[in-house]
Amino acid sequence: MSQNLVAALARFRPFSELPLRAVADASRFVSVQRMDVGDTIFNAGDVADTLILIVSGELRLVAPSGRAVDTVRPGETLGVTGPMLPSRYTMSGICGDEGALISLSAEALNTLWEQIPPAAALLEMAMAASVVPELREATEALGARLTTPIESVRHPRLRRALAPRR
Amino acid sequence: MSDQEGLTEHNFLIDAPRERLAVGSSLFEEGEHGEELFVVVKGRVLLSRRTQAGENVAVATIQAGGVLGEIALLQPGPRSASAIVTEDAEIVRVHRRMLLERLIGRDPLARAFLRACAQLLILRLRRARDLAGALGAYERGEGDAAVSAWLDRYDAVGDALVLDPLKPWLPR
Repeated sequence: MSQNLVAALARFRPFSELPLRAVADASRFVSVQRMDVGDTIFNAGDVADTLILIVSGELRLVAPSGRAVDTVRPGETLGVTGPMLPSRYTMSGICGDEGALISLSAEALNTLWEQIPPAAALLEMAMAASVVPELREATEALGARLTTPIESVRHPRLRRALAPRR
Repeated sequence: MSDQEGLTEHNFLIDAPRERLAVGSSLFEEGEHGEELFVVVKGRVLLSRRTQAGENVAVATIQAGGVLGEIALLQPGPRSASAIVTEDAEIVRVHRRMLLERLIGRDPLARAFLRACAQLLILRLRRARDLAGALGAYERGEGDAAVSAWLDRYDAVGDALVLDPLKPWLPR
């Protein structure tokens, strides 16, 4: 077990929320990958089932049209929900500046569950909890943006979607 | 053992004591600290929030077979809404401490339940993003097709599907 890897992991959410012992346990199941400029880390349409932590360098998110939409930088995390509920990437991830990433796939998380359940439990709780601020923010933003009464929304489907559930 | 195996025999939600609550009972108040998830077995519970003007606005009604409080279970903190019983109800409480004890105790059913709660949250987040996308497209006057494209994604994960991960757990 590399102490450097444990220290690197502990700087990223959700690992930063865990006791160091759990980070050390989880570190045995992550992968470290070097990336060079132009490397494709994932393609739009691929199964998104992996948590990716950018340690150094940068990862550009590129739409199918070829337009660069966003950049993931050192210290930033991508795909925290993937290991728990895989979806599909809507953009490709292409290395824009050489560096390294750490990843945890759904399969690796399952293996962690099988071999060290307490560490997996704490990690998955923290991964799930990391969705909460984004969910609260999205809900708040929705409420704040709806400055006009729902009844005055002229799009019937949107009006129905915005109405409180009864 | 698979995630779902043994649910009928050892499902701690089905085995848990049910609490009966009369109309008007409060489950929790907005702003109050929470660490529990509630399953509505019978009856109805109204979720409401206070606006900046101090007015209470209905957010959703949770019917039998629904759940509320899943955020507090995974990340304890202030409740984002108030919950009040609007039709005599039976509920089951799942406290974070109980779930953690079962997880640490290597209970495979607790693992499956945690995964289901996480998936419920993720689906809610995806729905909120899609609805925000539809509203944004509408406000920017991007036209019906653009709004509908967002709503197609939103409807693809319908209200019922959001609850799907938890369905095997819910008392019938």
